[in-house]
Amino acid sequence: MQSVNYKTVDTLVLNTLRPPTLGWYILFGIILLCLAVGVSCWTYQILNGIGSSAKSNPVNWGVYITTFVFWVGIAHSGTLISAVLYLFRAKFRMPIYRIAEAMTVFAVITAGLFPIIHLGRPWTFYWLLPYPNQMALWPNFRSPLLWDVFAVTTYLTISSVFFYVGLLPDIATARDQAQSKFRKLLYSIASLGWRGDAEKWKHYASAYLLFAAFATPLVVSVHSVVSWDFAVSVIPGWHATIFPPYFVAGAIFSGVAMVLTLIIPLRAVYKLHPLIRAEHFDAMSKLTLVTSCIVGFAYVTEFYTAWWSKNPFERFQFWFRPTGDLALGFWIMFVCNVVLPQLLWIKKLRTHIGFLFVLSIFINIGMWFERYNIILQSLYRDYLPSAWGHYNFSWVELGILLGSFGWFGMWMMLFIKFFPSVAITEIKEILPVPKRHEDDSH
Amino acid sequence: MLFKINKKSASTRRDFLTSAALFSLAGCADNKLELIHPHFKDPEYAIPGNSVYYATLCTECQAGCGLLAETKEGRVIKVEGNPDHPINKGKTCALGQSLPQAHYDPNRVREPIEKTQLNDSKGNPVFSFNPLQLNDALSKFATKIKNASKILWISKELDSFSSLYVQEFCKKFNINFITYEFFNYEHVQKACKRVFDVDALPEYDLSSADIIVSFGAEFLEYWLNPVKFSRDWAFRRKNAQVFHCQIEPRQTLTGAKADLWLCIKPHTEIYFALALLKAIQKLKNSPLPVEILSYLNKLEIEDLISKTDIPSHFLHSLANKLVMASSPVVLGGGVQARGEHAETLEVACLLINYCLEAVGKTIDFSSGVKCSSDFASLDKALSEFDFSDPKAVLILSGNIEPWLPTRLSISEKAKQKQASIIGFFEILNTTAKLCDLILPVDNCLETFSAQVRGGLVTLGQPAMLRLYKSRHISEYLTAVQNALLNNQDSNVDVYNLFENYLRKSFNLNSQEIKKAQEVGFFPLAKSKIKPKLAIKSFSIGAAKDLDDAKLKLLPLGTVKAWDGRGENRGWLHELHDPISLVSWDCWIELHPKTAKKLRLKNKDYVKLYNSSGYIEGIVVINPLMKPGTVGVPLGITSGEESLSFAKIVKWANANKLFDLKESSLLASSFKIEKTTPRKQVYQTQVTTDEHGRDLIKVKVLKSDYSELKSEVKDEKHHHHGVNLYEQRKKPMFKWGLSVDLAICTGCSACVVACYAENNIPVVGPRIVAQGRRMSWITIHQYTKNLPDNSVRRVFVPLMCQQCGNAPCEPVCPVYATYHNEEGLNAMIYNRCVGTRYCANNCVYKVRRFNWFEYEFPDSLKLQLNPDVTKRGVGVMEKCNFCIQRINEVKFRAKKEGRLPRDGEIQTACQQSCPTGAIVFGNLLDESSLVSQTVKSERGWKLLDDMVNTQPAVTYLADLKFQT
Repeated sequence: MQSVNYKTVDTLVLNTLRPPTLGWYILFGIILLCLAVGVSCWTYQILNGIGSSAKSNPVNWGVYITTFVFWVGIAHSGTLISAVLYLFRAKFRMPIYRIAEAMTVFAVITAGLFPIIHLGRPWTFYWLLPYPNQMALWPNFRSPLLWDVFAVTTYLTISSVFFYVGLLPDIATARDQAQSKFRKLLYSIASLGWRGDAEKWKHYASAYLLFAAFATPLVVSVHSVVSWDFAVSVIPGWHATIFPPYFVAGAIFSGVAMVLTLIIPLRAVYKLHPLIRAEHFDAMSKLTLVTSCIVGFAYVTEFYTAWWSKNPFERFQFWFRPTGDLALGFWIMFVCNVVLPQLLWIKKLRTHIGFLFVLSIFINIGMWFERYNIILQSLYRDYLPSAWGHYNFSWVELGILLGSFGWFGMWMMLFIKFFPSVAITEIKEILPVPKRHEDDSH
Repeated sequence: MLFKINKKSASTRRDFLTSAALFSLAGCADNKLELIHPHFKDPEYAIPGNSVYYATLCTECQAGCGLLAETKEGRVIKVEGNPDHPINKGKTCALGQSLPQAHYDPNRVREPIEKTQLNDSKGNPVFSFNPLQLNDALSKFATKIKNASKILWISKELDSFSSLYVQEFCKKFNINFITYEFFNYEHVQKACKRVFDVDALPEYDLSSADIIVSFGAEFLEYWLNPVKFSRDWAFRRKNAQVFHCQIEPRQTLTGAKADLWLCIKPHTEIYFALALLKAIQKLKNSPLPVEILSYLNKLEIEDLISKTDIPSHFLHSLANKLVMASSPVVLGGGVQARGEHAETLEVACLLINYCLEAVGKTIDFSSGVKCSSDFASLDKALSEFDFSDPKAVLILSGNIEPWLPTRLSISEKAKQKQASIIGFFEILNTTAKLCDLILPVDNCLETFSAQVRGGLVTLGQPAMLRLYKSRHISEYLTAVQNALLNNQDSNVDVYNLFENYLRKSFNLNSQEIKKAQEVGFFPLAKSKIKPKLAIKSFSIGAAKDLDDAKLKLLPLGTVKAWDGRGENRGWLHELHDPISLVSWDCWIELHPKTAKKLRLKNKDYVKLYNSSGYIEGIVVINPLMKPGTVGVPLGITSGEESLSFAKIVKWANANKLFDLKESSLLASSFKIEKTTPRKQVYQTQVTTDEHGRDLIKVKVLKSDYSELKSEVKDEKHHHHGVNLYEQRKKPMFKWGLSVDLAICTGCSACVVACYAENNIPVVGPRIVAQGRRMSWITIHQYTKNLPDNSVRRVFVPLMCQQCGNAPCEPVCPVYATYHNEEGLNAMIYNRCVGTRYCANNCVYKVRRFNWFEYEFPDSLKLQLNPDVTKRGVGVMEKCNFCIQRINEVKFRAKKEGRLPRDGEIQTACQQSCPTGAIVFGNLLDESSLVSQTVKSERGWKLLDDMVNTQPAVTYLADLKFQT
């Protein structure tokens, strides 16, 4: 960390908060356009009926639940990087955790939309909440969908609080350096009067540790609960005890990939090279490789279990996946999630930024298809062959899928412009303590 | 059952709407507007919400089934068989169940209309249909009749009541009256005349038959008297007391139920029948006339049988079986056998029956049923009819145009016509559109009718007020007759005419009439005919058209379309054909070998055409048909563009491909080519194979039913009764259902009944093709390879299984589906948010989701059952064992301080099932019928051993004798 000192950290990070360039506006415009497509498609769907999506009788879930699980999965790695790695004192998390946490929060609010979009009568979504009412009518606590509601809302609450607590000192830094009146006011309110004295730091540290400890079990629980949507059912290919660990590993895998997808352009645009360095990419690549291997192992285990069970329905299902009507989806998943990441065994590629960017996009695609495989393939071919069915994508669904990226991207873009995307305080923690005459700004 | 008309009573005005309808009809010239609206002032005896039933008659075919029309608040909402009626005993076919949709057809002719011809800007003729006042229409009709030089009337087969007045009218005005039905039995009747010199159709008694050999007669579908035959056949079949052999080129539904199904080369049934006749004659040494014997002696069995492509050992074993049987019966040919020898085939069959001494035992000629179709006269009259004579009048009643061969086609001939065409029609179909003047006639649910059959006179009566300004045909004719003959008797009310008919024809007094109408029928003194052999000789010409190289077009009859009179009923279109599994669209069936030759594969979209017509449809590969044949379904639609439902698949008119001749239905050479697929092509099943899952059970018997009893029941239910949740204590009822696959013929009456009872929307081909059909009960088809090397199609009616351990229940986040105390998986529609998790987790995939807000178009709304909620968009629905019927009976029983009796509650599917395959009742009542049936040796619960769903539905394995 020779070339970096406290001042350069401040300048580098706070540079990202400068008034947006034309490029930012163009990108933001595109993202808003995607969002507009999504919003119009959803409006159309509400007016026309949920039948505007391509789902049919045996295949009652499709793109929406796939996308829901995809975004929940993305949401995962944020907390893993910020909380779990914090508890493990893994230093490589410092420059990336802020962006990962932001991603988590925005991914959860994106994911949270999908169960509502997916409802036949979305205007009744609040019936899933256990609110007191004069009819003494409660939701069904046996339903995994209700567990989902709790899991996702809990996760959203904890991850946003944790995110906000971590942001506090940095918002204060931004406040101190803010030029415009608006920003000054915004940061003053948001920083809750942070002054940076020792007592505040003491409370901060213990609060942060506490929330990290709170958030850590959620890393395991959220996606386990989401996986129960499937594991608790009786459908061949869904009803499997491997689902919770498999889903958690998959979620971390996809989350790390998404962090890579976000951080590489950010680093290039705002020239954060001194802060986000090769060793960080190397560490993230290793994490990707490990989780890819776990996911790959889970895929193989599923096949093995199906064969070992001698259950004709399971066996057929797992034979159908790589060879049936939707085999393309299976092979996209397998190649993107298991085969391509194996290249990360090569050390040079682990730090090759261009390669990592392309790979991370492939992993994102692969992980979307993983859920597509689980949901669609199983529903295509379940128990009664006479009741088997089919599914074709509809433009409404694809529009809403696109819209979800617009929604997520909008929050990300705004966040980058309004809050420090790299944790200033924590980077400083790992810098060598400067001598007084060298740096007197602090 | 209740006929509430009492002419003398002053209170009748305020009575039920039906009677009001009859009274206000002061005569045909009366143009008073009558509106149907909810009871503004309730009739005194009518309790809102209680159904009133009217015993009436189904006039869809000539079988003469008695019906009960259920009305609520003055609207017909459903028809069911009349349980007291000896012919159908409360059962109906799919077509009969769809009657309310015929009544509420959106394309009913609502008032008299006149067609006027205009010319468009390019000089092409454009027609417009203009409404007329009834008086004007009648005077136009009368003028035409008065000035006519020649009148020809072509009609469908009319019921006895209408035909009396029509024939009287025809006699008076010198009208050449010709009846023609497409699915007719003219050749059967001619054969009876030749063989036994009787002028009637045979009536078969299958309830005592222990062996049935059928040359393609679809007696479980639409042949002669299908509902009665189904019931009789099932009565024997349940306990495996009948051996059934079906000989036909392509397996029909009836063939699928046969123990021995023989695939014969098209139109060679006659050779097999002759060989069988000869073999049986030899075995029994029956006294046939000398000339016939010498003719048979000239024939060689091996020679005959070689023409049919059936191994000869089948013939000999069949002949032996028939001779050994105590009451055998041989049935004639079906639609596929309508070749040039159709009549001779019937003659041969009757002779076989004679040799087997079945005549008088299983065959009877005394029922008095006649077929009045006469193709020869139709051909002659239509060819001779001079369309250029402005004074000639053609009267049409019955949709004949779609069937007529091109050389007789009225639309072709009438292009430059001067003659006038007058029609009596219910809906604006193809034939109606040819008419210059259309007089709307009543549907059978809003008027009187009568049918003489089986020693009975079945009476039809109106179940509700007329929907539109229609009249009964007899009213029109009497009014015109009165006007033309200056008859002062203005009594042209249909009620009076009907009473006159009953008085005149059957000598009934008003007391008897009233009683007969309450019951729905009255018996006729039956004169037992003892037929004597009258035939002296017969022979067939040299074999023609047996060239193997040429593809042959096979006409296929279906339960959903029959002769196409249901072409504008959504329920029937939405049904899938149980064999091809195609709903809405047309299809062509090919044997895998033929398909390979033509380079076509399953689900290719093709166009099939010849000089007279074309169809487009999906290719269906069917291994159970003769290679070298192409099967096309008749009657799916007539292609009429003015009918709301028929026009949706207007390319599905296969009738025109065939050249209709006297009893024969042959196609000239045709071509098949691939064409651009339509989006709505859909087969409702991806596969009929079980994929090695052994889901559906078929018991193959060697000799008799007792084999099953000795069989040890497969006790694989190792987890039986395991349940995570606490069970209800001391319930009163546990509703259960059993479905006997051995007697389920796939006739689909249950499916239509369910649509009618439960307000299930018809969604149309596009949505069906997306896999979003709404039917709560569907006929699934499985093809199984049996240990005796035969292939068997099994039809499985699949409805919600009301699982005791239902996978759908725990996954619903809002308790929209839950288990009620009586063992039902109840649905709370207005609590459903539409996550569709329940449907995913249902292992039977019987839950249906409202993907859109479905509409019930136009007048079809009037049919909706007020006891059942109409479900909105985004809500899950499914079969609930007709919970509204359960509750109705439960409440009634409670009021009377008793428990519901067994059989008192009937689900709609059970009620309609002609064979009684579906049994419903309380499983906790040890004495109930369903408690007995579920204990059957053949019983099993679908998927229960794999998923522990503990369903309330028990299936009874299909039965088949080893061959």
